[in-house]
Order: sequence, then structure tokens, then C-alpha cells
Amino acid sequence: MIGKSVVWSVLASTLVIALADYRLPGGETTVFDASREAFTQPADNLDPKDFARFFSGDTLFNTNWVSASSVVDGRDGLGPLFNTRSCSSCHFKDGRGEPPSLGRISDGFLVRLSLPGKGLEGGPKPHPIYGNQISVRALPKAKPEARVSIEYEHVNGSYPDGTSYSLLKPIIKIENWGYGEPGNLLESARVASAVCGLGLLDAIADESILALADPEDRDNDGISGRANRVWSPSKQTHSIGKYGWKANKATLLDQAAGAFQGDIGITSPLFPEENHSLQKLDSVLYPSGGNPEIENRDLEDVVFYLKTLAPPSSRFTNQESYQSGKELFEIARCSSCHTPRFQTREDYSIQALAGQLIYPYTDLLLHDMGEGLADNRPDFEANGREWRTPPLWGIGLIPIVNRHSRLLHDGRARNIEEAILWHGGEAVSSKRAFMKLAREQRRELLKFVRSL
Amino acid sequence: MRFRNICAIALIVAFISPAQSDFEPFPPTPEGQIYSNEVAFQALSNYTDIAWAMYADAVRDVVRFNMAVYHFRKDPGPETLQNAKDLWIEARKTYGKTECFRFSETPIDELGLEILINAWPVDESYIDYTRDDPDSGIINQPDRYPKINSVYLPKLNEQGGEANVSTGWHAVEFLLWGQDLNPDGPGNRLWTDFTTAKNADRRMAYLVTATEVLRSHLVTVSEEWNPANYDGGSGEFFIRRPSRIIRSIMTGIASMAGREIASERLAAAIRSGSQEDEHSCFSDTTHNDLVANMEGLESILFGKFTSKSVKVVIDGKGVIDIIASADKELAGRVETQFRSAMMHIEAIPKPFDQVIVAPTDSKGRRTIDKAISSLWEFVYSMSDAEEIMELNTRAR
Repeated sequence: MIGKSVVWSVLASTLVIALADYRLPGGETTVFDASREAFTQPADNLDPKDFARFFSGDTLFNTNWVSASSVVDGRDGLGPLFNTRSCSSCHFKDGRGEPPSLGRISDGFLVRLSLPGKGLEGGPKPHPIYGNQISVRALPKAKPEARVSIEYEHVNGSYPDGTSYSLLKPIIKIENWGYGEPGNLLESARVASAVCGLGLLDAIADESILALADPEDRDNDGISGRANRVWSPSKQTHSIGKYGWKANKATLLDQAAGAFQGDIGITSPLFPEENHSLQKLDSVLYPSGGNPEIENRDLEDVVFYLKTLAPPSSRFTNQESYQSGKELFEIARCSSCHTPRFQTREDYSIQALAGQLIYPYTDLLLHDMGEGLADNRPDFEANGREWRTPPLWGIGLIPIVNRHSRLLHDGRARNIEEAILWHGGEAVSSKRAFMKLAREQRRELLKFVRSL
Repeated sequence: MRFRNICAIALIVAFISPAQSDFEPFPPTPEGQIYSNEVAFQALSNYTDIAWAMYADAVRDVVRFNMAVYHFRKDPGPETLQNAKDLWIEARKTYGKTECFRFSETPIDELGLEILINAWPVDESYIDYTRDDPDSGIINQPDRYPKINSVYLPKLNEQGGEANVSTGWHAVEFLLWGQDLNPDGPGNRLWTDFTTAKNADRRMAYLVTATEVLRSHLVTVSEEWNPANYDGGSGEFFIRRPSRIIRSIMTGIASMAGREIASERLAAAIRSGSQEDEHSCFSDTTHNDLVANMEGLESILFGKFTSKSVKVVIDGKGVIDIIASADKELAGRVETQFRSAMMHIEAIPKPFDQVIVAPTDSKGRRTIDKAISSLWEFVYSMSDAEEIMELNTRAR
């Protein structure tokens, strides 16, 4: 009997490895859709009983919130200060935001603020009036906190083979402060990330992430990799940060509730206060949309939705194109931080996501990315030069879903090539390796990344 | 006929039947294939006949509705508005049947028009004033949206958020009925909104334009199925392996029944408990949508369709017959489960938004629960069928 069970477990584990397929970034959750709806699909193996929650979350994600005086019950409480009115206006089709074009108020782009020094629980210190991000919109009768615009400076360079390139360096301008000069501030611009595959990242065990960390760079490869430790309001403890450009959120509930509060002005059981201290603005002119404005169950549906949105399948033309691209990806040591493969926890709360072999191409760790990308605004243990490795799955579908190809935390890179050229700090040797490749090989590597 | 010919070509090419002097309408069923090619061929060509007849009906009714809107523009008044509303309801019912062609790699999705024809839910304040904001919407912001025309309006669809719907059935529905502020009935927009109210001319232009855009989009989809239109050009998108076409159709039926009707329309609506989380929330005609969707599915499953004029009567092989050629017993189960789901859906009390807010143990809510579970049983059997027919191997 024992022999039999061993045989079975060996068989089972070979089966898992045999099923591991680079074409299925999300394992069995992977969806087969390369259209505009590529990021909007529920995990392929999701239990149909869970669809009601999924679509309830989907509806809430797309809902335009209205002001509290509205007749629409249950979807009110917008603002009074806000960045946008729905999740989907920034994460359009569950995809990615871009920096605003000239003269437009942004969707999918915002500026974080803080004062120098540490705030509660070691996080950024919010500004006493403006809180921790600039609200660029406001209800009638209130003023937006400021106007944000971007100017670009060209940074020119060339490859060793003589091909020249020109990058855009953004200069963020904040004017028309609505509630007085803010004084000395730390600022950092962010674009909205695509939200598919988040549950699979959630299902990666902390140990798997920590196993990759090398804060002292003991292996001397020039790449350290640190996990951010952040305060989690939902767990009421410090925990490893996984989400956000600086890995400053520990759980998706923290992330979603924080976005509802900061971006839309919707309070929740986790964040019962609005993201600014203009109490007089609130109480008289702007009734609350109920306290909290989004109920726990709705918030949980949104989180469930985010967790079960699956990454789309990769789009390699054939095995050879995958192999040759992968070799270049490894030669340039992109894979040191963009770790291709993980196995998710067996005991994860959503069965469909448990025990999957996934290909997110991230280590979820912080890395020094050099002066060029530095925002000089620490966030918990992430310093001003560190950023979390973003996942690469689905990156090539962003132009189809969102009709732009802007990358990096503030959307400065206009395509994958520019994003690579912005890599510095720990990633500088990888960037140099990329630049030294022959033009044809560079093209092949870019095609590989686009196909992930 | 476009789809029929191509299916025939595809079947012949796929199996390279030996050269024969006699005309062979379909290639023989290859060794090892579970379902019959003869039945599959007949069912697929019948499917295209039904599609063309159904879309032709939908176009006819949307044209009638469009005429009613013109009539209202020419002679605005409570009767002409009511007439337009009545014809919207009729046209919507006819269109609802064609939703069975969604998720099946057919023109409605392949042309990317579904989102412009049927986007939902709608944020009212993106289009027009609401009770809370008298100045909101495209209609009331001529500075920001100077033009309301058939080129510009579709471009505004889903701009800056997925609920920012500017075109399609539900945008037009909102223009005709207005917000549903009435817990016991549909929205009640005054006809004077189109004559004397602020921005009335822009509102009328919007209504007319959105109706025309809807009509023209539906015509475009419909023409893809037009047998007289076959030129071998754009029809190329049907040149696929027949097994893939069958799988797409079966997956489409299952997606429509499970993900769309059972989950998104029924389960999510009762979960939220919000009266406006229903499909046709302004006119309170969600019940019609549900029934029409099921009627469409019934047609392609069983291969039967009668046009509204009763001039076209189609009675041939359906998807169920392909399944039966593989497994008779399973086909019987699929049929029973579908009939039961359809019965429960027809039994959901009207208006749907009253059922959403009714207590969980009320009769209406229990009917919805039964509808959901029987739809899912049907979907499971459909996926069993795909498995038995060996269609579920994904082409990667």
C-alpha cells in the first residue's frame, strides 16, 4: 500500500511538472483571449458557483460612483475630493493607465505625496492637509487639490552598434494648490497597473519570495533584492509587501480599500476616514454616503474579482521562438529579478488558484533601479531608489487592451525597449548586456517579452 | 451561402475525401470521430440559416423602431414617445434572441460591435442629466462635446471608464425612459425633454443619432450572415476546422447560459440587491431579455426558428442532433435540463427589479435560484458533451 501511494505521489508530481507550460502563465487559470477583453476574464478553472461573486465584483469595479446626495443607493459617496469615479476608469478593461496628455486631467495616473520622515507604523508621513496623494478632481463647490501636468525632457543615447535612441524624462508640475502652499514635499508619480493575475501573486507563499531575497548580495551578482515589510491595516500587523510599485501593500484588501479611499473618496471599514483633513468641507456641504460608504461584502467581492482575474496565455509563434528568446532573456540576466516561475501555495483560500505553476516573471522584491528612475520618496522599507519588479505576463497585450504601450511607474517609457533602457542600479549590467546584443537579437528579446 | 458553402469547403478540405465522380455533399465521417459528419453538416448549415433569419428579423424591427423615432422627432408628443418606447421593447425582444450567437466566434463579437450595440451597465450621468446633477452628460455639455453625430458618438463609448456607455440599446433606453426613480415601475421621462427642456435639441439629436447608429451596426452584423452576400472575401473568417466551429458554437451556448444569464444577469443582480442592477433597468423589461435569450438558445439547440412574419419557417437539425449522433442518452439529458431552465426563467415574476429586492424566501427569489441551478446543470452537461465528442482539446 505504501509503495502504491509513493508511486502515486511521484506520478502526481511528474504530472504537475509535465503540465507546467510556459504558454500558460497562470497554469490552469490561464485564459485564451488576446482581444481587448484579454485581462477581463475569470480564471479558466474557476468554480462556476463563484461566478456570482466574480460578476458582482466586476460590476462594482466598473461602477461610476456618484455623490452622496444621489438617489442611487449603495453606489454613492464619491469624493468630495477624488482622482476618478470608478476603478475601471484607471484600470480600463482591467488594464493599465498612462500619463495624461497635454491639458487633460488624468485617468490612470496620480501623484503620491508625503512629508519627509516616517509616519504611523513606519509608512510615509501624510501631509496634514493634502494627505498622501493629490486629488485632481472635486465635487461641484469644492476645489481640486491641485493641477498636475507633465513636461518631458529628451534623454538621448545610442547603442554600441551606433543605433541612437531618445527617452522621455518626465518633469511633474503641480500648480494651483487649492488649499494653501504645501511646503516641503516628497512627490512620486504613478500609473495604474494591470490587475489580472493578482490572486496568483497573492497565492505565492512568503517563504518563496524570501528565498529569493539577498539583501546583502551574498552571491555577489550585483543584485540584492529585498522584501518590503509594511503595515497591513487588514491584518493589523507588519507583513511582506507584495503589491504596488514599491511593494507597499501587503494584501489585496489593503490595496483595494486604499484605492477606494484615496482615488475615489469612498470610505470603507478599513479606512473609515477620507484621505484629507478638510473636515469642514465634508460635514456641511457633503453628506457622507453612509458610513462606511462601501460595505465589507462589496469590498470583498471586489477583492475576489481581482484575485480571480486570470492572466492571458502567452503568444509565442512556436517552441523555437520561445527557446531563443528565453536564452537571450537569461544571457542578459533579466531573469535574475524577473523570476519566471513560481508554484502557488497548496492551501490557498481559492481552490482554483492553489498549487499552480505560474510564470509571472517577477520576484516581487525591491531593487535599486538607479538615479534615473529614483523618486526619492521612501515607502516603508523601500528607499527612494528602489522599486518592486513588476510582473511581465500580458505585457504585450497592453497596446491591444489599452491602446498605448506606456510602461514603468510613471509611464515614461513608450515601449518595452525604452523601459529596458531606463533600467539602472542593480539592473545596469542587464541593460548593458541588452545594449550589446546585435540589433536582430535585441529585436528577438523584445519579441519574447511581448509574447509573455 | 456564406457559412454553408464555407462549412462544406472546410469539411471537404479537412478530410480530403477521395475524388469521386458523384457529388458528395459532405465528407464521410472519419474513422474514430464520435459524432456524425452528416448530421454536423446539416446542423451547421441550418445554424447559418437561423442566424440570417434571426438577424434579418432583428434588423426589420430596429428599422421600425427607428421610423418611430423619426416620427417622434417630426411630431413630438406623449403618443409618439410612447409609440417609440413600444417599438423599442419589440425590437429589443427580437434582438435578444440573437444573443445566442455571442461568445461563438461569430460576427457580433468578431466585428467588435457587441460593445457598441449592447454595452451595460450604463452610467446615466455620462449621457444626460440625472436627478442629482442637472448639468451632467454629453447632452448638457456642448462646450466639451460640441458635436453629436454618428461618427463622434461611437468614439465616446467607454471613454474613461467601462460604464461610460454612449451608444447601443441601453443608451437609447435611457433616453426614452429616463432614470428609473420609481420603485414600482419604469423610468418616466417627459416628452418635453425633447422639445422645451434645456438642451432639448441636443437630446433629440442624441436620441436620433444613437438609434441610427444602433440600426447601422445591427445591419453590419446581419449582412455578415446574408447568403446573397457571399463573395469569398470577408467570409474567410469561417474557414476553420469544422470541429472548431462546433466547439465554438457549443462553448457559446454554454457561456451565454452560464456566465451571462445565470451569473452576470441573475446571480450578481440578486447578490447586490440593487434594483438598478438589472439588464434593462430604465424600462423594467429585463424579463423580456431573459426570455428572448433563452428562445434564441432554444432555436440553435433544436434547429427550429420561425420568423416574426411567419414567412420563414426553419425546422432542421440543431446542435442537439450533433450531440445525439455521439451520445443519445446525453442529448436527452441536455434537452431535459434546457427545458427545465427555460421553464424556470419564464416563471420569474415581472418586473425583475421587484424580485431583486424581494426577501430571499419569496417565491420569485426561489424561482430565480432554481433557474440559476438548472442553467448550470445544463452547462455542465454541455461540457460533458464537448468532452464525449472530443472537442474540448484546446488548439494551442
